[in-house]
Amino acid sequence: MKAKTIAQYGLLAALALVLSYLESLVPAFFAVPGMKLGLTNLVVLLALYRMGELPALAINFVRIVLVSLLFGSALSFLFSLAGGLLSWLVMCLLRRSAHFSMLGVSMAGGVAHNVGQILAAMLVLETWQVASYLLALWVSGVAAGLAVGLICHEVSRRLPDQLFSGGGN
Amino acid sequence: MPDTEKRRLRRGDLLLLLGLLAIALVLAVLTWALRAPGRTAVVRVDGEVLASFPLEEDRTYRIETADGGENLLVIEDGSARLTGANCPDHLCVNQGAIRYAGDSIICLPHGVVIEITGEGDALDLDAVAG
Repeated sequence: MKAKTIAQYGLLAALALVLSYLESLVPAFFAVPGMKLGLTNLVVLLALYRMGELPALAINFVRIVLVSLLFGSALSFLFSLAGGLLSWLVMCLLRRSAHFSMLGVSMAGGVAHNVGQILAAMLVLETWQVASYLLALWVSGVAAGLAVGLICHEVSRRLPDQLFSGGGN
Repeated sequence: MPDTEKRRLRRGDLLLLLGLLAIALVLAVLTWALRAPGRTAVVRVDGEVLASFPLEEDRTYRIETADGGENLLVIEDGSARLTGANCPDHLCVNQGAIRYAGDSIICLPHGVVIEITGEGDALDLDAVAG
């Protein structure tokens, strides 16, 4: 691995970490404890488009582990992991299909992130009742996905090619 | 040129947005249509049923978890709420009162879940939950 590649991963992982921290400061939205809006999808989306699928997965995983160790619990680790993996998977698939722009990919990723968290919560807490949060999380997933997609598009447009050339895979 | 630059909004994006919103609408209707008045409040800690109370009897119950967590459950006027907790975020308290079957309050730091069910018999619930 080239030093530049390592620096890219580190940079994005650090950015994701900071965003996670900021997100953890936002008081509960829709009163669903332990669950997050998924604003860190910004970094995953950026990595997905500029570096590739596996780098995006790696950066997100590092972010999830670090955030859980620093601010989270075992439960929030599981929620994040389920949300992060499902959202990454859906975003990869939609991006490959080539029918969607970054905005659509991001929306689907936002919804998938929240649905993944709900599924994890249903398994961990052994209750179906969490499903009643599905509506709120679904809508907020669409909204967060839209916001993340718009921001990411603008950010990515402004980042020079050299920043990502020669790295990733 | 990175592929983000040549991308504009596509038809797929709009269809996706409409589809996602349509599903949200269906979820909203389902959530509203399927709600039924609850009869029992079930208290779970880490998935284990700790206690369950009929909603028609007013009472206060102190939930204590193994790791020193405390939540105060108040049942009043057919609804249940948590009025006090020593968890760091107090999200459970902020969720207010619940009364419909399927509603729940979750205190994640303590692993406490308050669930409203439409079932009247608490013992049956234990069997189902086990």
